[in-house]
Amino acid sequence: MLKFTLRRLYQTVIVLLGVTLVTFIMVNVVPGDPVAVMLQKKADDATINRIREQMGLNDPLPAQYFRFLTNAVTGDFGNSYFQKKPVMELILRAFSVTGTLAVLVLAFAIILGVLMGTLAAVFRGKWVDRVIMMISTLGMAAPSFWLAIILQLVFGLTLKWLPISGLRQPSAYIMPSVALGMIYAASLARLTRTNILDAMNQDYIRTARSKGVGEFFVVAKHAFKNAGIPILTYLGTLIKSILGGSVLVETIFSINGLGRLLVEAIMKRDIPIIQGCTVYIASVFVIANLLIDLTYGLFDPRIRVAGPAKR
Amino acid sequence: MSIKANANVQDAAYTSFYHDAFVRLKKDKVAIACLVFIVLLILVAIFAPLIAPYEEGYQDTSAILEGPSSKHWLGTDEFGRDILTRIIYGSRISLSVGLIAEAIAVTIGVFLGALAGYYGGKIDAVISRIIEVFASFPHILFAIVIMFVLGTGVINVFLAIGFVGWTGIARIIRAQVMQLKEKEFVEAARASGGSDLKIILRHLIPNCLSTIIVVVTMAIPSDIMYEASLSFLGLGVQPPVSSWGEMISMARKYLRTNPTYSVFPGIALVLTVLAFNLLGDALRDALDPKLKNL
Amino acid sequence: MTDKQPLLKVRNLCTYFYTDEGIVYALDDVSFDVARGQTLGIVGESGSGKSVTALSIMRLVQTPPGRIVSGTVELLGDDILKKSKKEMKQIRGGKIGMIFQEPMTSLNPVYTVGNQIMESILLHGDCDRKQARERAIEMLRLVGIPLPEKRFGEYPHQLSGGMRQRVMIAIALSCNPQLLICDEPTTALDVTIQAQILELINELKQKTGASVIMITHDLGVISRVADEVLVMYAGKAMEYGSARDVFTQPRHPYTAALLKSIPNLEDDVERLHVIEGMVPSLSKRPAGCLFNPRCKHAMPVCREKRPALTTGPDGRRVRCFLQSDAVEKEETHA
Repeated sequence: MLKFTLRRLYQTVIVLLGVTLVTFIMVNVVPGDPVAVMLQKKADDATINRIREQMGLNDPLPAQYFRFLTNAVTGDFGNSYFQKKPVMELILRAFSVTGTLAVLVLAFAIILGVLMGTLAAVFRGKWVDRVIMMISTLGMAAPSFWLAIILQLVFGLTLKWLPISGLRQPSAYIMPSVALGMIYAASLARLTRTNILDAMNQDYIRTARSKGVGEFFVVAKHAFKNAGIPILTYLGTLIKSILGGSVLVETIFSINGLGRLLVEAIMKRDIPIIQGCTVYIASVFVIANLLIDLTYGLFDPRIRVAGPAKR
Repeated sequence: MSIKANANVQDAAYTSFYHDAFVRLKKDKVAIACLVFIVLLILVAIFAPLIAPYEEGYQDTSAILEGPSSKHWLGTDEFGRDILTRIIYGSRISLSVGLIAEAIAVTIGVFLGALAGYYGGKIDAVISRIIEVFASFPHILFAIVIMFVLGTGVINVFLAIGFVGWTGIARIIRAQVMQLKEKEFVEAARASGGSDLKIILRHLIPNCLSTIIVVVTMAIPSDIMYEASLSFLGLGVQPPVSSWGEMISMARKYLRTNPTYSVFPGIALVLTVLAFNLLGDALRDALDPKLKNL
Repeated sequence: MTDKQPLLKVRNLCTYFYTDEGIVYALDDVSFDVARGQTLGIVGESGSGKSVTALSIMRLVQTPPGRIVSGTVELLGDDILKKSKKEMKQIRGGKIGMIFQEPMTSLNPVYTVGNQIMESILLHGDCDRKQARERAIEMLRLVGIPLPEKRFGEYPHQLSGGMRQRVMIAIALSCNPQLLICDEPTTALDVTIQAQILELINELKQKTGASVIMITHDLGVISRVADEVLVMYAGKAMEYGSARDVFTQPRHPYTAALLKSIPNLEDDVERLHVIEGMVPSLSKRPAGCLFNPRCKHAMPVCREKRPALTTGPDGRRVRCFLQSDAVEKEETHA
């Protein structure tokens, strides 16, 4: 187990390095002079060059990358070109919003998805199963931004039950969470259904029944824990998708989250923010993945003792 | 000589495999309906100029932001453009994204995945790390950053989405090749002096074909959604080229006054994605049920 | 058989499976008794219905597509088939315990061995967790697992096949059931372990006074442990009686054929004896006696009418028109 942990840590470091490299290359390969854009061509060439020198933009790229990397490790992504504030400060502030939203979306997707999937599995073939599966198929096809708009239309404008923008009240979190979470609830429902059905086909279920275990506990205790293991693996992908999808929902509901920060930075060509956001979000996912891998053993005793299989 | 015979047996084996799969697929009414829908959509996209009631960029300034009427079945947008026309033309973008982005993703993904799976060892380690790095970026965000690098426009959207999606295919092909390379026909091919490249191209990849078909069909709806998302954010296709995502984005401003503007392009999107999703499910059940966990 | 009331009385049990390809008559008119403290061996080829019999008694048949259509299963005079779900839950594990063929997959991999034994104890007993834990460890000791306290906290994948089967036995016997059903418990195990497990079951049977139903296709196992034997073929009971009598003087041609196909080290033969033909499809059964296509003694009436299960004066039951006292064993060597 220790060996596995060390190896995963080592891999994580390499991946994070790769992330910074890829981000840096992509963002800095763009033609066009960020300083010129920043000063909006109001200055002459000499001034532009002086400022470039100051910001280290005239150094060779590998040097710039190295500087970027060493700073990034300490959490310093420089200052925003336009907002004159440290990028990290902006990111953290935005992340508190996006993070909260992400947690809510995750909770919504997991609770609804797993519940529906379990019901569908238990009542397999009956109308409950069919209805749930139909809804999840539809749910997976509806893009989150369109769903958000429809929700705004129905619950915000027509029924006037929920606020359509901002996060000033707790109820403002409802529509964004549902809009973003629907797709994931749907795919979780299908995944849960498949996994529980698989588990129910195993011999140990027959053993449990032969002991006199009631059907509820057969599903809730025996099948569930086994079915939950593949779902845990899916959790990582879920987090990644939620972090990405938040961009759209934040735009629609005017929420000042990480996604919106990134999109606006791209519109304005604010390179430090673009770099910082990208690296930050990718890192969040990579670390989350690492944590999931390491806690895997808590759920699957076969891995706990023997150590996970080589990737 | 014996290798040729072997190859024929392989051919014969999977011709009937596909035949069986096709028979199974034909029985699935939902899958057939989806296939029909998609074929119709493709025809609509190809013959758009013939089918659409108006030209793509035509602005009827006398009818701005109107609801459905006899002149404009689905209404008009803020420039007086017929929404039905734009939805029809929008199908071109959505379908092309599916096609071209996936072509890019498959090329990169199959190539890298096969290399990693076949050679194993250090090559596998390096490629797997590369895959992990690129897979760490949420797809939409990465596509957005690529659009920042390349600039907006149709071609760039295709490139961006294709470049984002290759990691999934790479992982799956790698796993498949790792499994397949232990099989006898590979040994036989090697024994007859086949070069590595030939083995990979001639023997391993064709045997992954059913997997590739399933994965591609299931990835197309995601690609379509990514394009719609990018265009929605203003970072994708630019008007006057029509994209369903861009239409929904514009429609937002007029949500109070003209709600149907945002509803129709959304329905088009949902139906298309749904059709590909269901078809992908059916194909997977027919060709390779082991992929159920995707 | 004995003048004491049998523990289990199965009469005319019919379990059918309703599938797309037709009705599968998995069990058709099966009747037998299990005497107290005795072992009944149920023997037959694959598809004979032996496992379905066990599942029917426990009412664990998968419904749909299966259904216990008719018959009675009386445990000490009480028909189990008429019990409610709640009552059935108490019977399973409580009055009747069962162990299965595949010890490798019959235990839940994510719970400890101890937990799974305790689950049974807590369901049927009136004790708290501490007492249940002690009893579970006691059971592990009873089934011959060394260092039971340590094994209690281990997971199934940490145990060998033989040990897992012992755990299954511990679970099944933990609540002192009156009947233990063993469905091919040793088929998946090494030969040496087989002997140990059978020995263990026998021991525990004598200690607890429970009755045992031993289901197997292996005549050797039957001869070792069974007091009485039920021979099944294609879902029907073909012969039933005391093991010794049935094996020395089989009255059904199928039983005789089975016995004859056991290779004998002393015989000098070039080919092993087989029963020609194949087991019929349970949904498309032949007319007349189900065994008639393969029976060397088949008479015209066998091809037309289905024989009933007749009971002889000594309690032997046979389903055959031949009505012989002992089907002759043909010479196997010149």
